[in-house]
Amino acid sequence: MEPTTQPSCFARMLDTRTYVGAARRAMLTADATTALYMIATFGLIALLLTPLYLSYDLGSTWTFTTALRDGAAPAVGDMTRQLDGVLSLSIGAALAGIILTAFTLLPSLFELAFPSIQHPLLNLVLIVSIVFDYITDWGKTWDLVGTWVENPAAHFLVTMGACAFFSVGVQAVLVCCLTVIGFGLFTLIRGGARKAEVISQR
Amino acid sequence: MLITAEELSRGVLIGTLGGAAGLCTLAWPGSLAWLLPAGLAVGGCALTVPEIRQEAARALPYVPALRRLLPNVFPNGTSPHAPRHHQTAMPPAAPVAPMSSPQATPQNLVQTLEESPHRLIIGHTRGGKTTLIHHMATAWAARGERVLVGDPDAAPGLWPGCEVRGAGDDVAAIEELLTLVAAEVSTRRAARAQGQRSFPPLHLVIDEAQDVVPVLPGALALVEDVARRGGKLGVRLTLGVQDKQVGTLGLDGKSHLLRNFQTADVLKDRTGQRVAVLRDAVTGERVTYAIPPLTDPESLIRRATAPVPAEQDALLATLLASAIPPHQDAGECPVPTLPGNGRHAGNGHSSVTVEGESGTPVTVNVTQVTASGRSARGADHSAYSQALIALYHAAGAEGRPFSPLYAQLKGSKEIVFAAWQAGKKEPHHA
Repeated sequence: MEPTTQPSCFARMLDTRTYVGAARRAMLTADATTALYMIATFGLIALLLTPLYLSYDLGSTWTFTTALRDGAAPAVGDMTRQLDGVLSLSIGAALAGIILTAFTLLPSLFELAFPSIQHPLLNLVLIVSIVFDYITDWGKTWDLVGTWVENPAAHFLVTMGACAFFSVGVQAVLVCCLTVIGFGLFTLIRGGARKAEVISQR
Repeated sequence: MLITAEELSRGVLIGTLGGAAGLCTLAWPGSLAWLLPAGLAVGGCALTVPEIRQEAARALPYVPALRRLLPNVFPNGTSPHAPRHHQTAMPPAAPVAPMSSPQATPQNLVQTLEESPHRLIIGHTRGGKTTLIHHMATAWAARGERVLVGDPDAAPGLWPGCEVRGAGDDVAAIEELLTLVAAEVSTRRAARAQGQRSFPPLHLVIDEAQDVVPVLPGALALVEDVARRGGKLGVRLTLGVQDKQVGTLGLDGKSHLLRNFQTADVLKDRTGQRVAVLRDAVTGERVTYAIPPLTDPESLIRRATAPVPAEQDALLATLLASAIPPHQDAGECPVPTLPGNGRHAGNGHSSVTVEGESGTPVTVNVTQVTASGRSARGADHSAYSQALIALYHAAGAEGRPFSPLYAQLKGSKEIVFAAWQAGKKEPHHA
């Protein structure tokens, strides 16, 4: 028997699983009109955040992992050529692209998956992913904040907050938006929930 | 809670050291200078994970300066190489504090156990769990608090100051005890609804609960009710069990109920000393408390057999009426005979002097101590048991299976099973 405690607000904020669950529950019980409205609203948010994500998070990590991709490219190429030979399909190039891109997505995937699993070593991997993502995003964020703030100390502090937003916050919100859009489309196709009218007779 | 201290530490470490690493990538592009602040950030965040912190503490040398820097790693100045005992302040060579140390008293363990309204004391047979429960129960009774004990292995004097039921595996008597507690809970709940919010403590202690709670009708419901809401009524539950499997207590599907208990595993460590392992409510870490020698409950049993003054009854009146002072003329004074066999005589004085046939005074010691009320209850209980035994005997003779019968009639399993078997063995009469 272990007394379990409620996770803090901060921990729940990082756990994307809770967003996905909440979005799913909200959309599955919504009617068609509400679903359409939510799709439009969250779609607009996702549209605005996607360039930020691609530029300040994914793009930064892509640049940082260029050497890693270049080094792994020959091995990945050999693997995909063998796969083409076995399957007699020309999917090697696409597969190589996916694998090499995964290097960039890996930190983000760890950040999305591991907060929901309580394990010391997974916590360590999560910490390494967050730190790595934070450092890779720092450069572009520093340049961006430099256009707003001149004071060095303020520059550093604002960049800290902005970098945290770009490296963790943006992708969490994006995942939430995509979840709402996905389940909203599902609700639209299904026809939405019908409200039952309860008539009580005394 | 908005954010824990560990999460805040991680945020600050990543923000500052991660930022420093980012600045290094800008200031010295292509160099590995960023690895140092990044490594510090990762290492610092890793130390905020309790399991990693404990492992790191064991690897670190025992240095007082480190102890001051990391109070959470070295609580109370303990060595990282020693087992984490809350009652020790010794260097690594002596992991257990000496008995003379004030930290070695049972107060820390008992205080921790009493912080929770309810306790689950787990230990194998002869492991020491009853000794620990006995220590707490007698302390509560000494403080003037009401303590009700259901113990199938009870004996006279074993639980001084407590109201005890169940001696000789008498689970029916324990059922009466639980009925009493249930009534008290209802009364207090009604009083609470009227605005009373403070109640005197009422302790319910059930030892060998695995043999009591699942078999008594209503026991499980009472345990659930008290565990969930008894704290507000001043009712405090202490269960002694041999394992914490939910099936043992009949709590299948209700394991969450055990969260309301402070659990203590009583066992022997590698040095052979009895220890109690508790779970820290905040961190979830296992904390070991050394259990110093406590009063052996068995040693109290003899003291309770001493004769005590009691009320008069018909026997005593007869004895007193026939008692002649030595200096008077004896005459033909008949020696009084005891009616019956003395067992059902009830109460009596500790000693009465009568004169025998030879004229010499004879002192009669009356040591039977039985409250008249308890005799009446005992008679009722005996009639109830006899009726139950007769039912099982008849059911056995009729060929009814035992399990569904026991589920319906309950009672002391050993006794009624024997009656059922005896009925089976009797030939059927057409």
